[in-house]
Amino acid sequence: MMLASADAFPVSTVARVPSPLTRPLPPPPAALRRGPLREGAFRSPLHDRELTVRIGRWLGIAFATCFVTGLISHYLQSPPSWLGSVPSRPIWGYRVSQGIHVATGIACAPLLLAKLWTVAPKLWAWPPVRSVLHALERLSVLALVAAAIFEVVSGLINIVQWYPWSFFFPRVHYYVAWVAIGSIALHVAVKAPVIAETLRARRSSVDGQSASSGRSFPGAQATSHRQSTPDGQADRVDRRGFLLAVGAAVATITVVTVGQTLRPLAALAVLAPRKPDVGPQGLPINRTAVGANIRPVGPDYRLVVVGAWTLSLSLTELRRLPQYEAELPITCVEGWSANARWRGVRLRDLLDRAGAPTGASARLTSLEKNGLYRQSVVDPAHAADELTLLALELNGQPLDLDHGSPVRLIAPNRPGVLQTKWVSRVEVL
Amino acid sequence: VKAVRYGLGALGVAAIAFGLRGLITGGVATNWPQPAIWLVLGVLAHDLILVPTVAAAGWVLARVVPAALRAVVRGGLLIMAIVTLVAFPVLSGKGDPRNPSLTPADYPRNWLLVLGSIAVVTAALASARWLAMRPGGGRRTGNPGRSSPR
Repeated sequence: MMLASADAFPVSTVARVPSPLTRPLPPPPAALRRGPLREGAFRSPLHDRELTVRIGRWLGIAFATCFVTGLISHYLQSPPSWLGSVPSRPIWGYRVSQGIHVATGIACAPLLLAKLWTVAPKLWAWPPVRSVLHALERLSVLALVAAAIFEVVSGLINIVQWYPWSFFFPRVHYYVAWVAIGSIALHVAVKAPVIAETLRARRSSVDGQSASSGRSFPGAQATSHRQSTPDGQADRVDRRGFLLAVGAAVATITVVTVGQTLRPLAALAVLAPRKPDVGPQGLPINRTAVGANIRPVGPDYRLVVVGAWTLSLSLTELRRLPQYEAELPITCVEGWSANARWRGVRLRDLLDRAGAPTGASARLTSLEKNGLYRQSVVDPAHAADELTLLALELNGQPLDLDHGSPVRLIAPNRPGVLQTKWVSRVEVL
Repeated sequence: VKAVRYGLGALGVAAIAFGLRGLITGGVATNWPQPAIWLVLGVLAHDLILVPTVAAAGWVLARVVPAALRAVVRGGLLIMAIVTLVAFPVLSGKGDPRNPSLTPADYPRNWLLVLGSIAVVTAALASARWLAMRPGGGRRTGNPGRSSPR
């Protein structure tokens, strides 16, 4: 049967002409075929190719979404030179994209485990390697599995700021994401004929069914290409139940976490690392003053603005400048966000006073002595935006020290780590 | 079609190469032997611990739970296991203890509440099926394919 042979030798569709890559390798001695390597050692009605394709499709969509939103976050935090200025609107841009990034990342956990379960016996395939090409394919699947597990696990651990490793999480998460998305693309390319065959078989079996059984598991009648043999109704119920359970698992973990950024669901976010209304002045914080080794400033505090000329402003002088209010979210890379009312001086007013040309960008420096985010660059679009403030007040009260007292940056559509706190210096670039 | 397929594969290989090159040349920021260890450990934990555990649980389930209720019970257990895995970081108590806005809730209690709710829903679905399948129940044929788990 064509289908069966395609299953046994999926690589045969890559090149039909025998070549060193596809030439069968000598099988290992049969005596080694023990334990989980035995034929049929590991049976489940859920080891089923149609399940693999269906769950794989959802996993692929989730991973692609996670990858794209991850790239957005990466480029917002370290903009490459070719990107130019980042737009400062919509206000909620980063809030939505990063909320989706973390939510789809969490949703990937059950999808990935379910997908891997449906193909679990393939790990113990016999012979382990049939040809050089088959070995390469297995290697690419290893890269896919390792990268996918790493991305989901490291992301989940990072959102509680737990760092049990000695590398810089954002950088490694970023590069492993390329390995993951690349090996997914390669995997889809390699498996395209098998995927198409499975979908075709499903469609034809759906067409062949009478209308009355439209609700039963589609494709279950096509037994020839199944990995599991007796394809009874119980197996079909098992598979349908499995799909429902995976869907319910995704829904459950989303509902108990997504409220950290989706305010209407905040009450249900019982397993989210953040509550959007818990923190000093009712707003969560990422880096505390203690963590940043910051003490309250005295009357000698000056905000230095360096442009065509240099300004040195005390807090009293800052408060005498025109004050504006803006309702803007703090949006953390870790996936939580919360709106707040901020009040302070427009950054563009300060830049004007220092004689900055139009379209200038600015570098802000914190009182923090160390820390990766003690400086941030405000690109021209954000610097010119009327909503970009050097805030002195939060929700009608002076800023809490943890929120960046005496002065912090707050700008629309900007990752929280770049909303520099405890600002002491503004330089026109 | 073939060109699209080969093109996608080539793009994939290029993306993998870009990622690996970034990891290896990243210096102290990526510290590549570390992620390499984590990548391998993740696969080993999945293939040698998680999958055998799930297989063993499935083996027990198949012998303890009547066939007609298996999908419902398995579904409930699966969701509980997933919730537990995903909640592991907040349950771990890790993070910065100096930041009271980080992991502010009573997570062990919340986790038990969530598991309890799933157990209640699972038990309700299982009993509904059980009643429906009994002779004289709503569906007397005992045909599990016809009675939806919902």
